[in-house]
Amino acid sequence: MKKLLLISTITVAFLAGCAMTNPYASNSADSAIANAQAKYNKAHSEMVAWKNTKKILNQAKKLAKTDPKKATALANKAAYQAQTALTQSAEFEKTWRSAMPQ
Amino acid sequence: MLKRLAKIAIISMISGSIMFAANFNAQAEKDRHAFVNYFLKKFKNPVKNQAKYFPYVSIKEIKKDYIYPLSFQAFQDGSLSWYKPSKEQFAEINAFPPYEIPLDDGEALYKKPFANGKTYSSCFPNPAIKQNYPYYDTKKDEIITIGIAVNECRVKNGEKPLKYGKGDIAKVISYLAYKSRGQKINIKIPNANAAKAYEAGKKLFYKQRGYLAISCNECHVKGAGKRLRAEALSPALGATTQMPVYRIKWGGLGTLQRRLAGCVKDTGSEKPKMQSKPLKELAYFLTYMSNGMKLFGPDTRK
Amino acid sequence: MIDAKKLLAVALMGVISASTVYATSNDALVKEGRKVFVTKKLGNCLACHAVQGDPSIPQTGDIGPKLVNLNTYPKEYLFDKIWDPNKTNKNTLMPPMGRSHKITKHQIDALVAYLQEITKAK
Repeated sequence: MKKLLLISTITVAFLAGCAMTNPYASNSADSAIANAQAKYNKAHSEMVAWKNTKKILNQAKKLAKTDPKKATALANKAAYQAQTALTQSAEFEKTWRSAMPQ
Repeated sequence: MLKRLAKIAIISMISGSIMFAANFNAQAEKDRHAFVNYFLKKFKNPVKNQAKYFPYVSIKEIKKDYIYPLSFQAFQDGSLSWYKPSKEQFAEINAFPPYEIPLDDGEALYKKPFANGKTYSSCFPNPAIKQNYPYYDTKKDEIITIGIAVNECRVKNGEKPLKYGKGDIAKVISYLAYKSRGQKINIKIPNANAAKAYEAGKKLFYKQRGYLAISCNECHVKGAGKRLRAEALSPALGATTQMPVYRIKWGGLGTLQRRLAGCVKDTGSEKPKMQSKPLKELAYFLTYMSNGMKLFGPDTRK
Repeated sequence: MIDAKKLLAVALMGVISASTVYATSNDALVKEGRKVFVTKKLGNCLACHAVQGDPSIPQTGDIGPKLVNLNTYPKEYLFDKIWDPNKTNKNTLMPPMGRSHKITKHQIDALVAYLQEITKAK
């Protein structure tokens, strides 16, 4: 039982170590794309997504296999846009009424 | 006694419903008054009020190029209402209005029988109806724009719906608009959900959005009467009276939905779909703001 | 003696060439900044702002203030204003060109260089 625990701990530690140091894992654009997609979906559903975010995200998806580095950069750009759209929307939510003619 | 009680009950029910009915548009009426007053004050005497409303426009330019004071009805002319150079340019263009041919097409379409022999007049026996659109349909619980009404008419008569925004639908609407010229915009807010829709449209109008972080308000209320590069910015008051509009930029007619979708996109936002809920709410709000103004569509713009 | 003269000459040349390099790089930055100012897809600043000291600028809008004497402001202040004007003014109409990544940090630096150069009182 102890042995099993030890082995499993080592395995987990090893896997975690791999995930942190494995150069192949960071080369994949998948997680960046998934992150961008989730943020874009949220921005889109709140109707605050920016003009080109979807286009950039689609470019990232296209390049995911052939050029993961560029794909990741594009996905991060899309994620930044979607996140900024959401953040500014939350900010403007507090202030927009003050812009109305009094 | 019973009769009297019933009477009281009925009276209180009626007055209650009247009170409610008045309540649904109470906020909207407040907003509308402030909105209209803002424009009337702003364009009453721009030279005198330059510091308040046009701080970065020179008095010299105001004296040379601005038209003022503007009456409520004058705002039907959009940017041509206040900017002399545009007004002169379009007076020449409208000597032979570019919308005339599509308008004739619209009349022909209106009168042309569907496959079942009926025409649009089976749905719109009196074509002077545009002043009532968009309206809130309490049974369907949604906003019905004139484009939707035209397509509902087609579907009811076994025809395929038309694509929104431009082409035949804009032509048919332009004929309805032409026949509605001079009618006063008459948008109502019949129930709580309609008031909600109005509020949603209002927020879309005033809240900054897109990568430019600007709102409709910033260009077409605060910005109205100023120039973006060489473009004179049009006032939001009266904006819907000129629809559908023949834009030189488009080289053809476009509906209010098309124009609004383009405007939202210009803030650096994703372009909303025509007849989508937010865009209909925006149209509902914006048209309500011009309540009481006479229609003058179709018209020509840059 | 000759050696000293030579040395001085070399040193002088060094100073001169260094300053020309500096001048040309600033000129290049100013030139780039002007492009950012007038190009629709970049800053498109002229859509709202007139600018003092550059008569070659095409017709500008009059939504924002005319840009004058910007050389009297610190560079960082101007950079921050262009990056995100909402930070200091909640009601501003001006778009956050930097925060939205519409233009890069380098392009904002160029813009600031251009504006400070062109609005200098001459």
